[in-house]
Amino acid sequence: MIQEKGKILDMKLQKVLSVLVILLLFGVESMHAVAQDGNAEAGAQKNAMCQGCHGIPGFRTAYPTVYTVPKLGGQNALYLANALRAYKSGGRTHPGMRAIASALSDQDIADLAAYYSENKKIIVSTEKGTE
Amino acid sequence: MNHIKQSFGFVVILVLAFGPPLVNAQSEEELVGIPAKAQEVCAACHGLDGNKSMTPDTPKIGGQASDYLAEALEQYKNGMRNHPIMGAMAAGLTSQDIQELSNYFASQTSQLFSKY
Ligand code: HEC
Repeated sequence: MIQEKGKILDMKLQKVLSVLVILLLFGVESMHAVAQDGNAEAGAQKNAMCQGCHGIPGFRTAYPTVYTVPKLGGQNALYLANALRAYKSGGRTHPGMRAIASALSDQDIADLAAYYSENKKIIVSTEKGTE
Repeated sequence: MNHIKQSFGFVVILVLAFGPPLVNAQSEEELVGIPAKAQEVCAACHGLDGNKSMTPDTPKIGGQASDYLAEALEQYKNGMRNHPIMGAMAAGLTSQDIQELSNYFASQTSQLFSKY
């Protein structure tokens, strides 16, 4: 019985994997659109709208459920830019982030991604466990 | 360039599907307590500790808040985040998987920090 369950899982996994192979071969390339060159210093001038949530260690958003906003410092630039583009285009539907990202130009997105991915720490709090 | 990236993705998937266990460099002992799916699935792209992204579009998840990771996974699963790869990954996760995996990756050391 347990073995059979394992088999079914294996089959599911194989299905998922074959879907992935197909996606990787044909589909996903468009999403990798190489990030436009961003300028971290310019980004530092453009992040007033981000600070209220992402600049506060452990800050929680209330919608759609209560959860901690992500730490952005040190994150990969291409991921950050892809996420902002997805909020802007509707690929991600979080209402707060949609509103903010739709006001950003491609250059703004590249600059902000460069700023946040930069490993220079601007310490907001030294309290342990909150950073 | 495009097809190099594509072939790379293809190789990753082949290794995932048919290759040896991804984390065979670690001793059995070190793997105790690490959720099986983290070792068998997520590690391929995010690294076993969530800090070694295989491609630049893959985020670091090590040390990110657990409730955020869980919410992100729920959203890939329910379509609030539309992403073919992570959508396929999250589709196979139960809510218990999501809890376990989020707690596990959140407990890893982090290269991420709150930045003003
Ligand atoms: C084939 C590669 C691949 C695998 C395997 C994979 N991921 Fe991902 N993951 C990605 C990519 C690429 C993204 C970025 C998606 C986006 O742009 O929204 C991502 C995003 C995420 C995010 C969102 C992080 C954030 O900061 O919002 C979480 C959480 C996550 N993955 C967890 C997992 C877990 C848990 C597993 C194992 C069940 C897993 N991933 C397996 C490639 C992968």
